[in-house]
Amino acid sequence: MGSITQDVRFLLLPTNPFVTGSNAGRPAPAHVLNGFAAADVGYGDRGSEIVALMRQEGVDLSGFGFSANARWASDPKTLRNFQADLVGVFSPDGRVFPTRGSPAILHQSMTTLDASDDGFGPHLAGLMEAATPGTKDQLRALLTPIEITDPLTAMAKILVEDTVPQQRRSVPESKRYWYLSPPTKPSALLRESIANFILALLENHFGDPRPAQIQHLSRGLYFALVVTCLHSPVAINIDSEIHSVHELTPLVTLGGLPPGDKDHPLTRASGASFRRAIQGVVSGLELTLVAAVEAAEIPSTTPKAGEPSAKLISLLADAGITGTRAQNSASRITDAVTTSSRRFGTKKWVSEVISASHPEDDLATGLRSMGRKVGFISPDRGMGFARFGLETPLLGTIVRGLVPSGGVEFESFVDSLRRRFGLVLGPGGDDQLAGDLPYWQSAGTAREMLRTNQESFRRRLIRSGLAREYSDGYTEVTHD
Amino acid sequence: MTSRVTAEGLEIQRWDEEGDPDTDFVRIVPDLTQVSRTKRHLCLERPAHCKSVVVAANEGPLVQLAKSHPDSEFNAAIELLHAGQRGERRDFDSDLPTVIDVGGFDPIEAGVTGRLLALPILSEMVNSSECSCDAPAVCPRKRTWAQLASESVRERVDEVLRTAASRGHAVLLRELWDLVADMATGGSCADSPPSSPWFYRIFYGDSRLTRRLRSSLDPDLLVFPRAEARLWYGDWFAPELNLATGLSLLPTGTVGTMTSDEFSWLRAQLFFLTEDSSVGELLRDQYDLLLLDAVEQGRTVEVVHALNSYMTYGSLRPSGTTLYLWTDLGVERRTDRPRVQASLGTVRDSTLRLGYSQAVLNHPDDMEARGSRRYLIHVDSGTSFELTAEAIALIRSGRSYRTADRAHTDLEWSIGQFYSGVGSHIRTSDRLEVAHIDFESMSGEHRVYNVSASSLLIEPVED
Repeated sequence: MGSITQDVRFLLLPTNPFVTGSNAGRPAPAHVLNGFAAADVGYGDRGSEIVALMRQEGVDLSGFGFSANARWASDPKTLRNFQADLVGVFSPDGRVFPTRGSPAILHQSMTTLDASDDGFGPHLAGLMEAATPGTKDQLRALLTPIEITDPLTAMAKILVEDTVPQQRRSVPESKRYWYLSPPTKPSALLRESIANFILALLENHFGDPRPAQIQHLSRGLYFALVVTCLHSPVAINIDSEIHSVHELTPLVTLGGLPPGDKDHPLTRASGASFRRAIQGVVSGLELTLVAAVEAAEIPSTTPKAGEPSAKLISLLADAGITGTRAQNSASRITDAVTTSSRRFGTKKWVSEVISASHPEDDLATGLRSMGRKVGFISPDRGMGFARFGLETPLLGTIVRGLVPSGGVEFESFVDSLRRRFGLVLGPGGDDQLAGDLPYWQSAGTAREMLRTNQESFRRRLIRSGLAREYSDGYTEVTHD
Repeated sequence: MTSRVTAEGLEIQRWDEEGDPDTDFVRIVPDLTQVSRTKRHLCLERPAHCKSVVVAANEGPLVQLAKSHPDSEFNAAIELLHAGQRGERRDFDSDLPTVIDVGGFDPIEAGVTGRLLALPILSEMVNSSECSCDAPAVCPRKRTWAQLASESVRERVDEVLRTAASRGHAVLLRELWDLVADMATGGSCADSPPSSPWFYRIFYGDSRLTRRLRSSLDPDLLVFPRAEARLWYGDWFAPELNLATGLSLLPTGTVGTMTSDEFSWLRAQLFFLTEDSSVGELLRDQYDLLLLDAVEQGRTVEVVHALNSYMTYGSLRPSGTTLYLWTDLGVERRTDRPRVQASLGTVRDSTLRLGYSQAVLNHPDDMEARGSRRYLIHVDSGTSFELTAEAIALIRSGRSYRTADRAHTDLEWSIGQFYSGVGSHIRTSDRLEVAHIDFESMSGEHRVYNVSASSLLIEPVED
């Protein structure tokens, strides 16, 4: 990302905290779930002690209750093996480091204070609290097992003993966070879609063992984050009546196994929809910054000449950035703008600032990196253009978050993906959809492509055991 | 009113017909889809003198009826149908309907092709068909069709199709009909060699099943070491050919100057007519059917062994008597899969069974008709894992540690669902098994801990 990415992100955060930072690839699913839980049910010292136990050589076990019965720990090799086992089991994605990190939290007291999620976890918790108050109870119930029914949870319970998180992770307060009081109808729709999806993952256990439930929550939370990052910049700036999230930006998503054939018209359309989504994000960020600048209050004592900087500093203060740090940020932003567009706050100025802070290519790289982590965007960098697809484990998570018990008819599921997340996998029940998409030469081609994609998607769901096909062609999506 | 009657003398009435009010009858619904949605739920009603109701229904409308009438026989029928599809068998209950799952019936296993080929009407049709031949006595289609009167030849045809069906999707009845139609009518007697004989159509015909067979079985690789020289030199009655009793080969080409096509034609014929048991072995060698054989013969130990080996990348000595419910907590899609597996628990092989889907459920005579799906079933929980042909082939090939091999991602997802279902049922928490796999050397380490959350105990278990 550009050198002023983080500075400009601070300006945008008080309105839209779902903007990627200078290292968009850093926040991983384990970090986001950890941040989500740390904000919602809290964190304590035990989480960081477990991190140290996992990763530090010569670790002192005396603080752990199990050490009283652990004479084996005096043997260095056995202790090293034990540590390696803990890392393998609780950090399969390698997100625990010697001094910090985010383990797979099978118990609420494993939660740590780790800023690697770039604040996304607490903001998702804030979104949930605003849209569906009371979800803390569901999360606490999931992360605080009363009955121990699997050995992984048993190990987690032994490690945390009876410790209880003492503190809640917080983020700078802003009354302007769009999810607190959605400023537009599309943003309200997006908020409800995301919150209800996460709520379903929290509430319904689908007969899965606890470790699998938490795994689905982690994957689903991160998928929801990527979708929110893609749609929210547009959603909060367009106040029109929409009935489906795809009306913001349709994300053409491959129904077959990703990443698909790069030369296939469907794959190319998916790639084009990814680029279009990125352009939408850029435009949305510009509009957000324009609105923020317009709304900024300048201290009355500020001399005219210092007005631009004062405005920026005032904006940065909203994000909790003050003093020298704010002054340096303001200087860097001002310096990044060329002479011709130095008129502070104009559209040209804003456009240049966003081009410098969140250039399209960098945004695309960042969001691709995020989407790839849960199998939503593929292929890996350097293997071809980015496109949307759904790897099978993600498909399983989405089915769990969207499909009610008893199942849902396949076309309704396709509609649901489009309405809730903007994912276009086929026409579903919308015969007009093909004509609205700009990715093919004619509506006829679009219809054919969408039908083909939908059929590939249907077959994949059946093959993965996520749908049942009846003899008369009726297909039901189910998580039974 | 209809005049049709059953063997028991009962009248057959369509559900929308009115019959004689004093005559016993059987009510039939030929197609539930054709019945108005508002009246479908009335189809199973039995008025006076109605001894039985027979409903032919697609699964979709039946599911809808079951949902809207959860206490009805429709719901019971759907539950039975789904139990059968999972391979569950239940004792007969006279309060429940008998269900026949036509779509789930396995025509290959039931030897339907052989039975179709034995139909006299088919033979009559072939013998009366027109072609370019001067007379039936010199017609290769008609002369070779007579070979199908032999039961051993038809059994060989069934065996070949069973082998073809061991990969890919289940064979549909429609595909079999297409194959039989192509065998009887496809090709031309005027070709050189003639493309009309049935054995040639099986390997080189136009049906979907033929293409599928040929995609994985190359007939030219079917070699007959002792018989081939005899064929080449036209020794049609040589004992080395080991032809089934009463059968003879139809020659083609000129002895000593045969083209490769003509020789393949002869070999294809010999393949079906010889009684040499090594031909069956030859077929199985081409298909690597070891695990499939284990499944077919209900050898659970071998399937457990294969699953354990698959999940640990073949890096540990797998058990055949204990199934480890290996999983990992990974969420991210990285280049390689997680190198550590942890077990949700273990179950003994005796708690598992291999089964087939059932095409007939709740039959008063306890009738059993094997379906086309194979399952590994955890008996206590009823959780099952479908051993599709593709799954069996992947398990045999070994797990790939690269996430780009998505077929393995899908398979581990399906296995994971099965293990989750079993793990949720067994609810054991006192033993944590951990497997480390080194992808570079493909070696592994297996460690075990006794754990007790109530007494804060973690105890490594020595080998």
